Amino acid sequence: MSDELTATPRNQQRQTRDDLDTSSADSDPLVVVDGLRTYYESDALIGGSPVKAVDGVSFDIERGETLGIVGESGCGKTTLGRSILRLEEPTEGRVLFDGTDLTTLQGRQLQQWRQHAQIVLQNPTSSINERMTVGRIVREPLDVHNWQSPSERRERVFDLLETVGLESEHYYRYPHQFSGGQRQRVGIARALALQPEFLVLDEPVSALDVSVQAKILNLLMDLQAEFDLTYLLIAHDLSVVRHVCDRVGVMYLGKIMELGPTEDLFQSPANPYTHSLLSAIPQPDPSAGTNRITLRGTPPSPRHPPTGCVFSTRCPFKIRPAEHDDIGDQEWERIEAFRDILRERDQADITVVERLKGRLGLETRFTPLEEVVSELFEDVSYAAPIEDDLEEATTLACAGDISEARASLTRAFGSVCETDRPTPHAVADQRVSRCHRHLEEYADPDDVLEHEHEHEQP
Amino acid sequence: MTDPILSIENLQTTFHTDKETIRAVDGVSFSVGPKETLGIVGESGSGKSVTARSILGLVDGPGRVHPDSSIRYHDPAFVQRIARRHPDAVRYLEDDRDDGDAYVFLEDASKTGQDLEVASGWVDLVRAPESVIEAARGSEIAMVFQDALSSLNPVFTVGNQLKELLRIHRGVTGGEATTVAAELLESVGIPDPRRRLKEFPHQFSGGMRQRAVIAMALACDPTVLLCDEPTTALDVTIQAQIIELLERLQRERDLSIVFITHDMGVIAQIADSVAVMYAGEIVERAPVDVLFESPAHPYTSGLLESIPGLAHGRDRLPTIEGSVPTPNEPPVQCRYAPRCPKAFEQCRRVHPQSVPVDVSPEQGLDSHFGDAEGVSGGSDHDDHRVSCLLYPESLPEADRLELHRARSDDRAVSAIETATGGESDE
Repeated sequence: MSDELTATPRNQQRQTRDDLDTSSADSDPLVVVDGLRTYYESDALIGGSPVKAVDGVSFDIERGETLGIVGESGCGKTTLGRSILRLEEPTEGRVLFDGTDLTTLQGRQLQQWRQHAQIVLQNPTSSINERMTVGRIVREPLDVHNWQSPSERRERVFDLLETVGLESEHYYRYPHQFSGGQRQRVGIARALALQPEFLVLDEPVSALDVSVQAKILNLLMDLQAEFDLTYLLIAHDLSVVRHVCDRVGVMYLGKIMELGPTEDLFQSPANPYTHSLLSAIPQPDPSAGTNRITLRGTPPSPRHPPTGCVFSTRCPFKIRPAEHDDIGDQEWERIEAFRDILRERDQADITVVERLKGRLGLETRFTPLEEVVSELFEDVSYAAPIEDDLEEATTLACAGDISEARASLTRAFGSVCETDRPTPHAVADQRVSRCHRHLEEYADPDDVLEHEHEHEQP
Repeated sequence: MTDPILSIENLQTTFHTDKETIRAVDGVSFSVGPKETLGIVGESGSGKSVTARSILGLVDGPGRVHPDSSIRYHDPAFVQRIARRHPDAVRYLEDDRDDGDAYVFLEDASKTGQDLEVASGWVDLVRAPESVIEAARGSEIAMVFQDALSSLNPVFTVGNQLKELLRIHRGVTGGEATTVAAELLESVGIPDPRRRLKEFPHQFSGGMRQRAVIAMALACDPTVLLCDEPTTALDVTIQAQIIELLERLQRERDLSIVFITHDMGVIAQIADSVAVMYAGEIVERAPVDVLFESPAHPYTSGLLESIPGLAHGRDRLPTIEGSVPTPNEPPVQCRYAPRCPKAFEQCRRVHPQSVPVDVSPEQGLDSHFGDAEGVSGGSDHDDHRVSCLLYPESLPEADRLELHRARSDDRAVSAIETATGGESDE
């Protein structure tokens, strides 16, 4: 595995075509996403920080390809799909569709363009109008775009119903008479009405039972072959993605952590987050051993993403500074736990009343820090200099200066993962991953994992 | 085989509407041993949630648990407590007297009155009055629901809700309740628990909320935990955390768990044995490794095949035609027959009964069908039971049909007998 850095360093402003671009030079991609950012502004009048839902995403989608985007809820994958279609207004970056920059399209042009790209939404009960007949639902995009004559539209709808596996008599029925799978078929028929080239599939099967899910996935694959469609499939179910996609991007907190061909990525994940995510999938095979990596906690708020690597707060492979190599694992864990508590407190929404109560020495919902600290470090001890560092931070935090305490701890125990943002590394052919561990001076995630397994099996 | 802690026999829960009667749970039998995890798996509409709710008496009108059903809770301490409190409702199994009011059944007990000591027996939760069910609900059998947000009250703090439970079920109040509540939150892996007690459910993340709900279910130290899709609404990484938590709690607290889910992957991870439900009936029951290795019922194999992860490559996924029917008629045929690739003519005439997948020649058939259906018996063959006319595998077709037919007739006859017997007091 080569640990080469990709060429472009991360500059300020709009990046050039850097990032996670895995396509070869001579290809002619249908969709090019370049440094896309979508921020939701804070509703605070002053001093609020925006929610960075999509934070600098770049990739290409080849013609006829299915690109999957996976990630936990809240990682920004839905916003990404919607931003590409201009259903959300991107803050920065470009989306090129067949050479046209979509972010600059306005009004009439944008409406015209929309025939080329459609979306299939997740929830088949709320994404179609209960008060319209199925025929009208599927016909609506044709009406909006004034597609040929009304009678031809009707014909087209009957064709579409047949294409997605519904009967022509369903034209006159209402959605409530349909099962979840059939409703999703209606949603797909509607998306296909204008013969688009590109479909964003936003969790198209998440709400369905496995046996129905299989049918919809088969349908989507058939349609792709029949109409030369290009798909962006957004899903949290990794087994669905593995079955359908050519390439997969793994997203975490607004960033693509790893991108590569599906099978390679599933068989030998490079990024620690991909590792953890894959190991968390319950295997439908009771004899499969559990090499599960259970992640601590939940993803941090995209309003306050960690500095450095976005995954650093939960990463099981986080790099420990070399000077602390001699600290025992348990002792090190306690220090990390202490820092977690301080971080959480620093970001907790504290109301004015609670602040006042704290000042007046009344009981608030926060346990006094002294108690937390003494409990945490009860049964561990450290060498003198480390003890001093912890002491100092505790004193600062107890005096109410949590940010200063955190800063002091970062100075003493901070790792490269917290300070530097990892750039994408080409880890194999057509594959890139963002992690400091791909740099030569650190052990690769694979080696760390192997090392741990050796420890577990004495 | 160890005695079960909870056993369900012929559970029937019906919903009566003006249009039709929906037999949501139609003759389900299973048992859970101590410290065992039983997984119930099935598609939506197969009746798995209604089964769990029936056990706790949580089925609302127009739903009704049929009086012939029996839900037996076997914990000796609980049986003893109830037997002492309601001596009128006690019946010894050696008596042949069948009186309709009894709901405490004693198999092995010594002494009488307030000194009564129970070694084995059960309380029938279908026959028992509401007060007894209330004593069992929460304290003995607790439930974790799918949607954590709607099982927590949004206007009270989590601490408030935990302390309310502790006050009602255990009589713990004040500072002591706060301490116990904090310990509970800590035991389900919520950091900084004292702070969390003062927070509202909306301030918890999805995974934390589910942990809080599990803490509430554990508040009264139950013996059996019914988990109704506890991880379905969660991300895989959080799901892994919750599964790990349940495994740890089971070890620490000797819990028996009934785990309901539609996710075969989760079942493979957590369950010791599995029951597959289809249209209100259990169609197959087996230890987890047997079920995944050699599924017997065509529905089970169909379900396993349609999981995308198992079929790598870009081939089409095998699917099951049609959809789960609504069981609104008494079963006179196999409910899976219209979708079954292996269906033959008789499948539409005979209602299959739960039989062992295979019988060895030296064992007479009678020994298998004499005992109560579904309750796993002694031999290895009994561990794997399936309701399908293709089984027992070693018998010729005519014998198999005869067997299933005879068993359905028996059931029908006994149902009629009990129905009339209840009315005419002999």
